[in-house]
Parts: sequence; structure tokens; C-alpha cells
Amino acid sequence: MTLLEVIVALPLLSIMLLSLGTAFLLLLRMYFCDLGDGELQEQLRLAAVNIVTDVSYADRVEVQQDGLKIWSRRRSSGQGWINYRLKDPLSVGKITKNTQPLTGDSIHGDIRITKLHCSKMNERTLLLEIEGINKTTGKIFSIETAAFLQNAVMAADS
Amino acid sequence: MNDKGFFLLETVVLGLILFAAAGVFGTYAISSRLRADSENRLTAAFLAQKQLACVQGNATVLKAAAGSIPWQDPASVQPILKNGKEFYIKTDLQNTEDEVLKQVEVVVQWQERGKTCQLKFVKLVKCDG
Repeated sequence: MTLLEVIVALPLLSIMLLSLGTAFLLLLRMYFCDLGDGELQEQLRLAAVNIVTDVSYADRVEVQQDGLKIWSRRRSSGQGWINYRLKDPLSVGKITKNTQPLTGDSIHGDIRITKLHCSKMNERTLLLEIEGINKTTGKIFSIETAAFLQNAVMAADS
Repeated sequence: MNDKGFFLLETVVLGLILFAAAGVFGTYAISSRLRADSENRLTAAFLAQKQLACVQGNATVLKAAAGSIPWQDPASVQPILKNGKEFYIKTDLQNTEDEVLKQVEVVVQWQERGKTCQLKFVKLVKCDG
């Protein structure tokens, strides 16, 4: 191998390795952003499934301005009701079930729940909409569903 | 040593580097596509759940004759735009051998990379009020 060949080959090799390395790091970053978006999806799904299940088997449901109050005889311990609230949508953005957070922080992204909207469609159907954002990527995801009250009718709006 | 052309070893190493790079890009592309798919499926499943709950809560619809049922939420019209996708929902009510039970079938459709995807949910609903 002559000196000329080395002079030509080294920069070429450096450029190739640099571009491959940059592409790899970029992909890695995008992959972690995707994980954050997936986490947002999963948190919304978990919250929606919890609320729909509790509403379906409730004895009484009351739609409140910032959430939902559900009475149930099936709760074996503690008080007979469950309170779902959206805590500080602008800063913290978490859904709480009584005092415990139902959605939370993640290492994959800055996930906040921005909307928890419940409304009465009729005496036995509750409409539910939950929206969240992954602040790291700006991805907004929302879930729209409804729950049918199997055992009860809804209380008047408070 | 023959200085003309490349050695087999050099070619193999270059091929392996390119293959590894293509593998990394390909894996990312697939995982990204799967995540987008799961997002649409999740949205569709919850929309179907909404339609099923609304049908269950609407005694008039359940007492009607078998046939097609419109989208039940008066606040939105089809196609339902959710998370950047348009979803079409078809609902059918069918009688069963048991007079008290009716079968509700909800099909949610959306377009993905030029193909129509769909999820189908079937539920038996009590219609005695």
C-alpha cells in the first residue's frame, strides 16, 4: 500500500464511519422517542380500562367538574367510593385514583395527561375522553370510549 | 501480491458493514411501523367499545328490528377523525335463538399505507331493558 493510497483511504474511511455512527445515534434517539410515545399510549390505555371497568360495575356514578366519583359495594376495604381526578393538567398532568396516581412519570419521555373529560350520554352510558402529550416529542394521543353501567343509573351532574 | 482489484476479504468486510447498517435501519423502520399500527388498533378498539356501550345503553335501538345501526355519538359524524386517522364504523344488530339476547357486531375500518385494516367485535347484549 503506497502513501498516496493511505492518504486517500483514511479520509474516506473516516467519512464513512462518521456518517454511519451519526446515523446510528440518530436512530437510537428516534427509537427512544418512539418508546416514549408508546409509553404515552400505554398510560392512556391503562387509565381508560381502569375507569371503564369501575364504571361498568358501579352502584352509582357522579360526573364532576374535574373528574368522576364512583360508588361501589364491591370495594372490600376503605371507603365505598373511587374518585378519579386529573391533577394539574398544565404542570403535573396525572390521573389519580383516590390518592394514588394512575398515570405517572417515565424514563422514556415527559408524559402528561392534558384532558380527562367525562359526560353523561344517557342514564346508563358514560362518555369518556382522555388526552395526553409526550412533551419530549410533542406527540399528542387521545382515547375516546364509553362505559355502560350494568347495575345502576348515573347521578345528576354536580 | 496482485495489486489490481480488491481481495475477497475486503469485499466481505465491506458487505458485512453494509449489511449491519441495513439491519439497523430496517429494524428501526419495522419497530416504528409496528408502533403506528398499535396506535391505530388501540384507537379503533376504544371506538368500538364506545359504540358497543352506546348501543347497550340505548333501549330503542336494541328493540328495533335486526339490521344496520348508525354511529351512536351525536357529537361526531363518520368518518371519525382520531389521532390523525379516519375511522369508519359499521354496526349490525342480529337476532339470536334466545329472544332476550341480541348480537351486536361492530366493525371498525381505517386505511394504512394504502390498505384497508379492520377490527371486528361481537357482543351478545340483553335487550329486555
